Amino acid sequence: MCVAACVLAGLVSELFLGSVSLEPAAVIRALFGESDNLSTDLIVLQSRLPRALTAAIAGAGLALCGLLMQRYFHNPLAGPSVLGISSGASLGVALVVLASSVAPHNLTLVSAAFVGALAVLALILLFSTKLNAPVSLLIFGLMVGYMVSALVTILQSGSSSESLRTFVFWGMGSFADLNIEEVALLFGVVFLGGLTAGLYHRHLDLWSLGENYAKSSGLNLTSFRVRTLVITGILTGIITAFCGPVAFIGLAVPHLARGLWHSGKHKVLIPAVMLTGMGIGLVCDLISRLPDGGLPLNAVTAFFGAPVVIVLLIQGRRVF
Amino acid sequence: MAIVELTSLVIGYAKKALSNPLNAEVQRGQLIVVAGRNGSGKSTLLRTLCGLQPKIAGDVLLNGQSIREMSNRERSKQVALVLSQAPLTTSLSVAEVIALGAWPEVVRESDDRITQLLERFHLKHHANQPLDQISDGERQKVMIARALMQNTPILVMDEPTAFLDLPSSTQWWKDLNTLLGEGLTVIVSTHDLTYAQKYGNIHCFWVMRRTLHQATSMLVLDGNASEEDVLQAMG
Repeated sequence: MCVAACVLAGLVSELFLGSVSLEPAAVIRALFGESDNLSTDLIVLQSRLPRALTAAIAGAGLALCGLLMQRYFHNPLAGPSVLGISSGASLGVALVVLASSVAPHNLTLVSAAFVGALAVLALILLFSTKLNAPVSLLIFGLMVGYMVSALVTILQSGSSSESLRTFVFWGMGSFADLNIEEVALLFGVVFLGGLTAGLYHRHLDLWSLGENYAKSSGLNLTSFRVRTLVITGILTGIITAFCGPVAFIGLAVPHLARGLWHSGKHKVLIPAVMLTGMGIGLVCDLISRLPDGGLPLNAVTAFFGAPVVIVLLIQGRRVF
Repeated sequence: MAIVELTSLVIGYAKKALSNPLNAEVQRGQLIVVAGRNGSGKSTLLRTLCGLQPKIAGDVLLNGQSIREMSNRERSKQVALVLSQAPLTTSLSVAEVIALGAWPEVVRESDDRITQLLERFHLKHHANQPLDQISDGERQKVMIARALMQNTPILVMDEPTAFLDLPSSTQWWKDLNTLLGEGLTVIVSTHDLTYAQKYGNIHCFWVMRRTLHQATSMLVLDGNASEEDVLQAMG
């Protein structure tokens, strides 16, 4: 209840607070399409509302990816980035931004990031049949990430300062600049990802006993592996494409949710983690908007989020 | 027909053979105790019997069917497994873990079968506690209860009493006799041969040392036994 209230408060704050001061009544009129002020309409419907929804949806999606990766690898330090998929998105963006002297259109950037993410996902799926042990796949994903990062560094070294600036800003992450159609697409993908994960919550419960017990209980490991990797890969890919490589949320939120919900059942954990992810996404975005000019989202997610997990650990709350 | 049959089975890892071809048969309701030194291949044999470890050569037949031809789901209806170490990777409750034994059947934690297993293993007061917050011995009892929930004709256990205290270990061998009486076939590895011989209705010992020696009783050694005595006792 507390987390749901936090999400609601975050959504309301996102709509009513901003650099331009608006009367609450004017915001409500704009939301219901009854505003006669074009600039209020623009601010509320094309800036604040899409941004608030993006923060909530991307937060939920990243948190779900973190839960799936931590469960799949039985590793509390796993997150959406461990498979190297966000690095793949970075390479896609780097190729477009750093290799061309022209500032790319936002849609080109998103497409490049998504194609890069899918390319790495395809590589992971291809090798997952040969790397049966999850820990081998974890190391493989990390190595792919390092190799891709090395390519990005090479591209960076030979690029213009203008291109480098664009790329660095993309890498800081942001929930801004999505239009409502893009938000709808993001929502559709995250919703489907959450639904698919929810439909196999008992498989995840069984997997939590370890690979040997899961296999001897009759779990189809290939199907489980592919399903987990595809959901995580596509969600991470599309969120990174739209919002940049957002750090921390995927790693930390599952720990927070476990500490708050006190359950190991994925039937409870999946919605709990997604709801907590929404709240954390909104809170981080609000904080990043506070000062004039704003703070980089990734600085906020790490700087304000990490202490929360540390406090839970110190209090002795179960985080894995 | 034998319920478990090893036909020229060669066990090992990464194409490296750990044994010569092994041949043996187990009939329904028998208790087989697998003994042998550390590294002799006891766990590998048990993992191979459950289909968790690919065999190098030969075959394992469960109820006359080759495990090679069985899917994970089909195998899980024939054989349940208890490993020497219970998982620490889950915070599911004790009752939830036992309920997973019936997978893919959905069983509520209030199901009579779970209540009976909780009572049988004296776990009722832990029913709602997370698995990672109880002792090693209790966790092992939960995994044994989960295996029984799987309701298979064959139970394979790799050193299941390793973390149990002496009264629990004694009780475990006695409970095992009851399960044998109910028609369950059990293949269990253990170093606890004194208790196994004293309390278990053992049909025979499989002593692993590259080959599989079959014996109806084992020489149990005291703490003063020489290395030669130990090697002789272990086949």
